[in-house]
Order: sequence, then structure tokens, then C-alpha cells
Amino acid sequence: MTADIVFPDRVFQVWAYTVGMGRLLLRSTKTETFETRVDVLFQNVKAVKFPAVLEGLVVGVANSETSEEITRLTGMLPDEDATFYVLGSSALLDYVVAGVVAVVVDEGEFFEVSKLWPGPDGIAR
Amino acid sequence: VPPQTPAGLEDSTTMHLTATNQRSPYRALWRLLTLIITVIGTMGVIASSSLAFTAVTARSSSGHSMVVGPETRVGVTNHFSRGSSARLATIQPACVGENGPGYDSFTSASCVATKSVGNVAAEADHIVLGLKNQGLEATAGKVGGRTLLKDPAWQDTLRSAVADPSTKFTVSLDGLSGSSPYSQVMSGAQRGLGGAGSYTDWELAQLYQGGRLGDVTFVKGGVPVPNPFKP
Repeated sequence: MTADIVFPDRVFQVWAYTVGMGRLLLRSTKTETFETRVDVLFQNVKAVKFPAVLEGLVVGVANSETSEEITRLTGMLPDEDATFYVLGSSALLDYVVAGVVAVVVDEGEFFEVSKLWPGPDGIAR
Repeated sequence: VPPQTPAGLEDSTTMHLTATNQRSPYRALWRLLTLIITVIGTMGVIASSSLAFTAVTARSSSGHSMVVGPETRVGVTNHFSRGSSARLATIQPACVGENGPGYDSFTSASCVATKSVGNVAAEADHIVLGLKNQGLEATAGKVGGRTLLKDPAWQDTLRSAVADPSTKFTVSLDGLSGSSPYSQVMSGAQRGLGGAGSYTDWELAQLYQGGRLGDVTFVKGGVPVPNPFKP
């Protein structure tokens, strides 16, 4: 998977969700400490379990043991269209079952649209 | 603070992937064959494109490795998705390794867009559109196409696909409001053109604006229905 979605010191919030394509946007805004904005987009989301505010974010693919636990909780099996992403931000098992995840780090403001969410409803009109 | 591996993550999930190019020993032969075919002028493009990729192995620092192919996903996002290698030109420089597009360097965080770098050049891209909650993925599997559900840059992908006459489209009418296929499509397209509506409405508007509705295969329950836009 990736080492690039590793932001253990940043606070993320659920920024947007739309039923269209099952898109979920998490955002860490700029602060006095951090000069960048981080947007993490999950697409084709099928299940989620995590708090609305995440104190640190590390996204990875679940191992077999964790996958079994997520399957037990959701009744889903990982497949081509459903990857079990673990949000390793706490001791609890937080996860997103989705088709894909993408991340953009830029210097945008909190009120500016995301490159991954180019409009109020996620559509570049 | 150095990244730590949280419990529950695969060893390979928190490390940078580096890819090594495993060139086929038959590559030179294939290239020669491709050249000959190209000179002859028959199927040259198909042959050369289909040989553009050899196996690529992504190897983690712990030695874990995986073969990266068009169905394998690694890196910051899904660098590989289903599609045809006709999309080679869409690979961005930041994602192009020393050995050329599709070979290595998947570690750049700037490579955030899904790249379509499949290996079946002979087959045109086949995009399946419709409502996600109406079994769209199953429909795509049934008709042999792909959805854009795993493509974060889905709007760009669709615009390019509409402009590419070789792209095939299937639209599932399941769940779309309207009393006929014509009204189902046009009501959605009009909403999309008006700046409102759903993602599917926007997609239908693109097909309408691009003059592609006549080429579309419309299906209900995965079964083709007559295309009311066919000239």
C-alpha cells in the first residue's frame, strides 16, 4: 500500500460525503504548525467506522487478521471493488471499506475546493 | 515523529514501494517483430502497444514483493486500473520512471490520479455508467466494461473518453427516473447540463454534449434495450 498517507500529527475531519460514487473526503486544514492542507479521498465507499475527528491519520490495507474482523463486523469480503483500509489513528479498529483512496497535499485554505472535490457537490461544473 | 506501523496494518502498507523493471527476455525479439509488423503496415499499432509493458515488481523494504499489473494496485493511490494501454499518453511525468512510463517510480506523492495503463491495447476502453446502488459493478462485469468508481479523476477520464471515438459506453438505465429510455436519459442529461443533478446526470450530459448517445449501449437489468438515439 502506501507510506504516503501517514500523518500521525495532524487532525483530520470528515469534510464531505456524497452518495454519488460514494465519495468521502477527509481534510486536515492548515494550522500555525502546518503550512499545508491535506485532503484524503475515499471513493466507492461501502462501509465506514471512525470518529468524525481523527487525531492523526495513517491509512493502510488491513492484514488478514484485521480483515477477518472487518468482515465479521460488516459482512463484507475484500475484493477488487472493496479494499479494507484501516485508519491507524487510535487503538480502536477504525476502517473504511472503499474502492480507492487518494491524497493531495497543497496550500489551499479550508474554504477552498479540493483538487479531489472540485465543487460544492464534488463535481467540476 | 517517524511513522509507525499501527496494529492491524500489513507490513507492506507503511513503507515506500520501489518498483523494479523486469524486462522480458523476449523483448528485443518482440520489438523486432513489432517493427516488421509495423513496416508491413498491418496491426502495427496494436502490436507495439501491447508490448509496451513487461512485468513490474513492486518491492518493499522488507523484501515483500508483488507483481504489478493492470489489476494490481500499489502506491499512493491506485496507479493501475483496468483499461487499455491506449491510455499510455495520459501518464503524467511525475509517474514516469527512469525506464519509461509504467515501469517504476510509484513513490511520488504527486502521483495521485488513477492511471489507466492496462496491457490490452487491442481492446478499446469500455466504460459503464449508471447508478452505483443499482448493481453497477455487477452490470459492468456482465458486459465486460469498467466503471469509474475507482477513479478519483473520473471527470477527466470521462471527458477524455467521450472525445475518444474508440471508447465504448454502456449506460445502465436501472433506477433512472423516466417512463422510457429516451426520457430517462434526456431528463438526466438536462439536469446535468443545467448544473444540477447527480453525478450520473453530469455523465449523461457529457455523452449528450459529445454527441455520443447514439453510440451507447443502454441496458436494463444488464440486458440491452434499443437505443432511441441511434440515427
